[in-house]
Amino acid sequence: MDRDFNRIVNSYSSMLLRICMHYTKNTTDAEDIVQATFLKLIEKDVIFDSTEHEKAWLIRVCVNLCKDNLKSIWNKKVDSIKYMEIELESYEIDEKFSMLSYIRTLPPKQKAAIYLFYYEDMTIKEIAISMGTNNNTVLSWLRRGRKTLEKLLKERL
Amino acid sequence: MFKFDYKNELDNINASKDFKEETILLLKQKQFEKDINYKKTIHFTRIKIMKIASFIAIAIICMSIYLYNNNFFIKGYEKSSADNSNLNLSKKYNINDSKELSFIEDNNKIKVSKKEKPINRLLNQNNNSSEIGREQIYSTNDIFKTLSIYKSNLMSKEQISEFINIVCESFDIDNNVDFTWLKYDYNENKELIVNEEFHTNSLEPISNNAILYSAHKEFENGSFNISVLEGKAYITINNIKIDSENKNDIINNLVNKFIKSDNSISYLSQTNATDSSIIHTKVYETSENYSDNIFNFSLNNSNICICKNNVTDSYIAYIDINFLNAHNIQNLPAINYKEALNLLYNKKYITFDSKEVTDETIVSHINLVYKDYYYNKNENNVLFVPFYEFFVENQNESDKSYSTYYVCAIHPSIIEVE
Repeated sequence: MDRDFNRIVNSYSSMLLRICMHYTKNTTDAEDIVQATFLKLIEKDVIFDSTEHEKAWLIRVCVNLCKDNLKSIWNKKVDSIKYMEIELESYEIDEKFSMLSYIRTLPPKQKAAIYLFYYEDMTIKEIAISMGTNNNTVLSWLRRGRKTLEKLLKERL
Repeated sequence: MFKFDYKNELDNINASKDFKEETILLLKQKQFEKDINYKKTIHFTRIKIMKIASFIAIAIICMSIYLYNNNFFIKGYEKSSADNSNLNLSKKYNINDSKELSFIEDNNKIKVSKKEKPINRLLNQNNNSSEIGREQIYSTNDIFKTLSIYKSNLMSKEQISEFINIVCESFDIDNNVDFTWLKYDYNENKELIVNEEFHTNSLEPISNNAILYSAHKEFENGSFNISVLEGKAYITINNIKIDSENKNDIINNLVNKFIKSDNSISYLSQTNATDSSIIHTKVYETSENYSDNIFNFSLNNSNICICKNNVTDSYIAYIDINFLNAHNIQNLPAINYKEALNLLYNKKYITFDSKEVTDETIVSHINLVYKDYYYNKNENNVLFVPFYEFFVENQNESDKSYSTYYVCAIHPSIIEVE
């Protein structure tokens, strides 16, 4: 199948990178996940009905890869005898004020929903399609995410 | 506020140009590798499919050839089944090993003559049988290079009488009743005529030198007919009143009396027609020798057949008793059935039927049987010679019937059938 890789990479690589940065502070890891997402295109040989379908698919794959990456980090940390304390980079709150760092503390689905809603300006319905769920679930994620952030910000202040 | 700060933060996160170029290159490389592998897979899959298809095609062709050669596709045997490649008629065989074949005039060749039909008519035998009689032990898959020929020493009068008495006792017939015997012989014109008539109160024929003896007696409720012909006695008893339970006992009793050795077996077939029932038992001696087995089954045997006529509520018994006492003279080179087919289609056959064999004739069935033939132009000298028996279905007839044709199974350079 002939794909226009130039168009795809130029259109979505920044968006995917931003999603990945919600799950990891490490830029290298984030870039690896972005490339892995694009490689899935070749592996799965998906045919898209539209650009919206293409975007939704890439977002879902990227979020899933980020979650897998989190699990692998978690497993490494748990198994390792060098680390007495469990540390999750993505849940560290930067000492310098960083909204992203607060959002990183949220559960994976909530932070993805917040990013897509507030930054990508996607509708609830579009987010629901991208995340493979229904509108009410997305609303619930957004509500809880905002609530948690509000609490965190109040504590900070 | 939240949104403004959040957005500003994320605006600073962008995929670099180098990263994009690196990613595009990576994707193109992976796509190329995938395409190559796909083409290889398709190529090898196609090769695999072609190999499997070729193998299947070859297997089908071989199977078809095998089935065709073994006549699975045709209902019977055609001229194409015949084989004349090994039939070397000029080949000489040395067959004078046996003293009993010392009579052969023409060196290395036996000339035999077929039987005259009148005898068969007298005995009411029907060669144009509507039943092929699938009871046979020969198969076209049998492979043999030689077959035996046999000669018979007829039993004595006493031995013949003993068997006849056994039959009479079995059917409760008084064998002391006065019988009229007819002795048949051929006249100068080869016609069968009654040579002598004599009366006797026993069933003992006077001598064995005639072609045929027959006797007939009417009883109150039935009749008894016996013909003694060259080693066989044919008995017909009409209108017998017997119980159905006794019927099997009678047959078993006769079978036991006819069995000569532990190797003898009785071969039973039973058919039920709409208005009669038939029980037929054949008694013959089995042998490890292939020729002996075929000879005994086809000729050297005794048969008991009891038919019930439901209309008259009586029975008819047909019994032929074997007195052949035959022995093996010599093994002679034989031809196979394909070579015999070749002779058949070249019109070198014997038949009592009027229809000729043509190139289009299809043989439904092949059997191997022994027939009695005269040799040395002397009707008193009888040889038992093997023949291939070819059955050809008679087309355009309301009842299924067959014409039979015989080709000698001994190599034609040794035996000539006139």
